[in-house]
Amino acid sequence: MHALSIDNVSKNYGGLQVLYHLSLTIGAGERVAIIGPNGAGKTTFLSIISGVQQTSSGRIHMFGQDVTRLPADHRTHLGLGCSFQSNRLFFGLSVRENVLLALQGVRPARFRLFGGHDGDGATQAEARRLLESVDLWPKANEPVGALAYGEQRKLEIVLGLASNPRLLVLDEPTAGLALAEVPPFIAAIKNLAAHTTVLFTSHDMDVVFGLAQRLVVLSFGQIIADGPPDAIRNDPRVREIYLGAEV
Amino acid sequence: MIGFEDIARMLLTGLSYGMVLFLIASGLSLVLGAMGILNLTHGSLYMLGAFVGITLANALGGFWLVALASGLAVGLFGLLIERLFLRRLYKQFNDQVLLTLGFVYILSNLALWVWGPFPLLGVVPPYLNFSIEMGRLNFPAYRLALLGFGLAVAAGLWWLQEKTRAGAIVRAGMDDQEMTLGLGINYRLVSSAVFFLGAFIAGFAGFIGAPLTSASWDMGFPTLILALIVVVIGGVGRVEGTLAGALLIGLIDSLGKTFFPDFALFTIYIFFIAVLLFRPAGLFGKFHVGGAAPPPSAVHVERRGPLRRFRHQWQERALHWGPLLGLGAALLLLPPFVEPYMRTWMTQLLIYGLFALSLNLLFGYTGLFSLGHAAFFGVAAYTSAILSVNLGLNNFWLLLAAGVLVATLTAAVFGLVALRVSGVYFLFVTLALAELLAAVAMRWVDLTGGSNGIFGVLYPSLGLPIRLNQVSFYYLVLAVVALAALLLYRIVRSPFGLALQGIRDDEGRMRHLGYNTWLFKYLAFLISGAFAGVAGVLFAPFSGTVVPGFLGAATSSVVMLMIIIGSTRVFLGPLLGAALILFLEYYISLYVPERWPLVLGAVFVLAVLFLPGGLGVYLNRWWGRLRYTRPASPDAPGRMRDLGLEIGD
Amino acid sequence: MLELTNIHTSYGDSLVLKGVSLRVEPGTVVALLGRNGMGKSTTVHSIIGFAPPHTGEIHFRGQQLRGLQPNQVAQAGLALVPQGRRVFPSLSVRENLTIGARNRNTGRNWTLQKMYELFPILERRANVKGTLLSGGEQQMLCVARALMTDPDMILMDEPSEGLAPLLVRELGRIISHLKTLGLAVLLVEQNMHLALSVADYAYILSKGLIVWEGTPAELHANEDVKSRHLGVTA
Repeated sequence: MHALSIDNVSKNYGGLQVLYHLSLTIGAGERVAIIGPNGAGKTTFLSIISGVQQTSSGRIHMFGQDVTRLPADHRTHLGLGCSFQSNRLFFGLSVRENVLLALQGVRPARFRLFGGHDGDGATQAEARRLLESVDLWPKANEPVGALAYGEQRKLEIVLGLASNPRLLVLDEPTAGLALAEVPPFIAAIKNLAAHTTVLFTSHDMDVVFGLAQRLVVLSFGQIIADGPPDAIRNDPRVREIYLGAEV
Repeated sequence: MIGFEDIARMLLTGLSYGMVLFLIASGLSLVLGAMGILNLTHGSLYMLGAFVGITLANALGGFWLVALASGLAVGLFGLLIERLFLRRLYKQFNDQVLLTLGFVYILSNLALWVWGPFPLLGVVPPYLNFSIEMGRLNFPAYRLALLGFGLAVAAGLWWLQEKTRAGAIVRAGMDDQEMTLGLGINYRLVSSAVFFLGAFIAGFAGFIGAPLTSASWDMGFPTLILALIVVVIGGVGRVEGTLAGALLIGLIDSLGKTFFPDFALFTIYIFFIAVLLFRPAGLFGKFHVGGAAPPPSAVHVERRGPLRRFRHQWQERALHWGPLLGLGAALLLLPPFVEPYMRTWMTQLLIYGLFALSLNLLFGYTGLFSLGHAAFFGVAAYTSAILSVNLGLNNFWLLLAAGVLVATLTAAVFGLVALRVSGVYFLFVTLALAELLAAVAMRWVDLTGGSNGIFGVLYPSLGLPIRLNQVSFYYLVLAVVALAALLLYRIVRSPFGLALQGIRDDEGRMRHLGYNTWLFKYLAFLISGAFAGVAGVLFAPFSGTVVPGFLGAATSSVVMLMIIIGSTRVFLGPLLGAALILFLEYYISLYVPERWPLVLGAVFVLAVLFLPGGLGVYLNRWWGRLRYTRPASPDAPGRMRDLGLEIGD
Repeated sequence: MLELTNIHTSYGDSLVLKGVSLRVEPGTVVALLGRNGMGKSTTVHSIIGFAPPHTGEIHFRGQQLRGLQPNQVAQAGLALVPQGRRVFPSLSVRENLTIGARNRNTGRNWTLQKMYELFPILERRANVKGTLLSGGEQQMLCVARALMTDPDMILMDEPSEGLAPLLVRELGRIISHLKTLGLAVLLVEQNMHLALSVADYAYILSKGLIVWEGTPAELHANEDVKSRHLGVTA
């Protein structure tokens, strides 16, 4: 069973077409990078998968189930986790509470009217494990706004991972991180999402080649190349369109 | 038998009334669309125009010049509000709403002061003061003239907006205000001009619409609500939409008056609710407010100060719980020893405090700005009053159960309608629904006693061999309110409560985390409605009288003010706000009871300008400085903020 | 012409620019390069006044810009071609052009007619709503809209974003043409190829600081800087 199968999907805003008849299947456990120049439709592509936007035509299946018209919360319960290009954190809450929200979203505990925010022992332990994995545990009780940008970025990714998703969608996960922060961050993602299908975009070729097993190149809303990193690196069309002729 | 003439009259009546509605709503829609400002004073500006115009016309004679003069006067007044107050509140939606609400109180009370309680009739110029007769049909010429005049104004506005550079700038500002600045356009100047124009049309319309609507001091809210309904149905910012919406509402009103005279008012509301249920974006709904749903009250992040010195744990605890225990002790021990008026005051404080706490679950915690919360409070008060006065049922526990049940059911129905929309529209719709309920209470005289209300509600019995007197009733209220507040506090601190706060901060993200956010908002709506119902059941025997006003927007907005003055982010903040407002009310009514609304309006304005975040936050900060704060150990499931009055976020 | 001295700018709680200084001389094209999220757009927003810096100086033709409203900055002779184009969707192409039209007596005398000569496609689409244009046409519209304010200098924020290679080359020609008219350009770009083909000088921004500056030729030669700050893998 495919983790994700995109079938002839198009997206347009009014008269402006952004995605043209895209088809793509991703197997369980694959780590796939979507790359392409700015404005190629990468973010739009991810947002129709995560359910931020609806497709104009075509179908999307997740783990064999048609999710084309399903709202985002249903997709999350099917095993989708996502993080966004610009951080979408809960700025009125603490770091710990942010993670708890993400953990409880897929647990029945979210409907509990009594008992503390922290939920049961297992949830607490899980929150701790997640925060420790990105070195945020010492700041668990800080308000999110008191974190540095890079730390907020890590929390953003943790929110996507907290539901223990089978399919993880990351839009520019390392944007805004310091150069030295990137390799350990990639290692952390690899570690946390060891058995998870990952679909991500990035401008940073180190991240792309460090994390992905397969690259899909998008240009003007169409897939122009799809294959293992080495093949893509040497594809002349990709070099022309994306990497730039001078490389 | 209904003949051709009746239909023609019905159509003409509806269309001419629709034109007046158009004139009222177009200014509101223009200001909302171009500036993103929801000007709740708009109905009151219309009223002001009517009074000023009629006064001028009676003193000086003339018609069109007077209409222009009242437009100008009201326009300048609007400009003053924009320059002095609204300008500072750019993009601060909640504050804009409160400020303009404050002016509703101020203007209506001033109008009552200056022009007295009796409505003034509009002025029709002599050359239009005749009826056109065609067979059986006779129809006032003025209404026909109004029809033509309204169309001319619509055409003028349309031309201004679609065909001139000024109009292009306003439309561009609706799309992307920042970018207009980037092109060197002084959008602030444009904003002022737009606000002036909106107020001008309102003032102008107030006078020429007065022959149909007359002028009375209390017409601000009803006029505003009609305009809001037109805007919801017609869409924001476009002349065509507003015109179509207004004419439709006018026709439906006249249709209702012809065929269902007993339910005339409700046909508009029923249509409005139907539109929301089936076409929540409005009938012509491709237009949207520029800013969409603005985030509720600015995110307030408290930071811990540096740690200074260490105190023993018991000292720390004493300081932590001290204020709460002090408050509890005062509420528990004082009443038998104070004067009866003080006891009354304290009882009222507890009831309004609970009412405000229940609304804060919706506003402060979930981020839903409702101006219709009094509906649940009032409907529970009515339920227990009707059961006890009309049916002689006086067991408190049964009354409580019945009142809360009816309040919750009302919330269940209102929630289905109101949660179809978000942001500004949610506020509109809750406001309109509550006013609908108030109108029902006003009209359904057999059940509710109409405007006289239900009076003579006695203290209930507890099923115990004691009769309640003022003191024991106080303790009943104290017990019920304390229990309810505790329950609310537990809910706020629960995983469910955390989810509500997540929705407040970023609803879209919550959906991606697996939350069915609609369901959570709906449940929050029900819970807060139920707790408001508890307050309502206590209120009926406390006040002895229940009148329609307790259901409507006026009551809701005062409670909203209590929350905001007290703080939305400190759990007991609303109680503090209630204490402040009720104290002021008590004090003012000792001296100038008839000017209370004026003072209240001024409090709205002052609170917005000088108390951002609410008193509770200041108190907390001050108290926090006195307190030792333990280093935030991640292993202790701690709170992120340091709240001295305890409790909540 | 434009000089930024040690500006610091924050969005909310996070400090994005941590002391940026740069200069643009009259009639030159200066490229500001760097990866996503490094503060390039914030620099542009700081200059135009959308995100006012809290410290530092911005001088434009001798005038201090810091503390001015965006409309005052624009009136001083700076025009913006914003990221994402931000064409006004409710306005027709013609209205988009005329809404900010001004004559500041720079001698360039931009008129609607001149604009149509420079971008013929805009004349054919004059009565169409702006957002119904293709991405490339919208970009032309944005450049034209900026020119209509009769500026001395243009700030271009990622103008090549989403454009086909052919259109990127066209854009390069337009920028060079503006330079021949004596306009200064600050060009914020991810597309190093375009930026270096038109620029006289380049700065590289990383984490809110200028980490490198020099001529395009020097940058071409410096593989280390390219791979470290621009993500160009050889």
